[in-house]
Amino acid sequence: MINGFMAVFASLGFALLFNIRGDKLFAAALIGGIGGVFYDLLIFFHCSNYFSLFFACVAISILSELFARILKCPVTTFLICALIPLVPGGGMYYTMLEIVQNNIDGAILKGIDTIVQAGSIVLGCLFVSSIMQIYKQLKRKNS
Amino acid sequence: MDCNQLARAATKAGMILLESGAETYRVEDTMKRICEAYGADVVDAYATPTLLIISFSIHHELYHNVKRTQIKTVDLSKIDKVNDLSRSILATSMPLEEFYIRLEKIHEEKPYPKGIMIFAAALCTFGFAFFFRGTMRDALCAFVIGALLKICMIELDKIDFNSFFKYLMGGAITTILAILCTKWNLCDSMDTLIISVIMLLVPGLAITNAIRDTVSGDLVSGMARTTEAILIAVAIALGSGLVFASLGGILV
Repeated sequence: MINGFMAVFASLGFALLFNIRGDKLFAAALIGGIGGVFYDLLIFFHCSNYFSLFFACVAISILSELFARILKCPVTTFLICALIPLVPGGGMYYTMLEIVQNNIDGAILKGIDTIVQAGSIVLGCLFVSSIMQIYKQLKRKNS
Repeated sequence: MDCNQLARAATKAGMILLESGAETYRVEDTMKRICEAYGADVVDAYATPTLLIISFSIHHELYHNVKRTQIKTVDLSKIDKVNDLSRSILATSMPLEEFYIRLEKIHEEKPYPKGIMIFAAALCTFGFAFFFRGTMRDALCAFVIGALLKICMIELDKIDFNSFFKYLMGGAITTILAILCTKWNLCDSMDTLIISVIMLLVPGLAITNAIRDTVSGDLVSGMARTTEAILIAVAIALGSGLVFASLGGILV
């Protein structure tokens, strides 16, 4: 839980690096933190890594869409900063390590694991943005 | 109204958006919105990460503009501001000259000062070390290495050479520093340390934009950004792998 919440610092740092200003900065950090806690909680309840990543991403995407409407700015402002902690940097690193140690079987295993992790994140984002597109079309039709 | 000036203003807005890391559909949308706000019809806008094309007609005259762009920095506040500005044209009936001046102003805005950038990078890696189940010692090491890496990356940015080599250097610097930390017994887990610092280089923007572009049907941009993301990831892994392969035997 506390480990997951530390994603706040990571997101806050990236928000600063990407030149976000004012209250949006803290919104971005908060969404990142919530995503991290979500991921940690799901892992804690023995969900698989891929499943946890997927749902953490769904949570982050929904919150980003929500905050984008409240603070009136593009969704990506929050999405990019909040998603970065979940990117499988660890998987990338271990794949490389296995290759350097000349352990090709391990590298393939880790490599596929990394690709599926990235895939789960992509699916999570896709899921929410597809639903948002449908929602926008429905809204346009009604008005 | 000067129609050439309108074409220039629309491409300028698109260029600022693209170079600050906006999604393709937002760039195209904004350019279209600006032209339509000033009374153009049959507007067509096309954007890829490296090229902008706009075409519109006013009073049955056809106008075009093409602009070559480069992906440079990430500046999400510029995207926000250009977006707001283009939406406020109709509401405030802003003249074209004023619109262009305000665009120039946004274009010249500076990011946070260097000191804050370095602190932000350090804060990032500090958080990541805990996120990846590191100890306090790991996190403090990550804090210092993150700051050093950011300083190196700022210096590397000043030299104009390809980003593949830049990220390769970033990965290598991280790994060398982490190996030194382990050697001097400053951290508990070298793997955690390297992963948390490497996350600073990870192409988060390219990945997010690649997804969003592909979903909204801009396949050319989606593929371009996916390639960019994969290239950066390979460069980081290669940099850190090179150090392990060449120095690993001596230092670890």
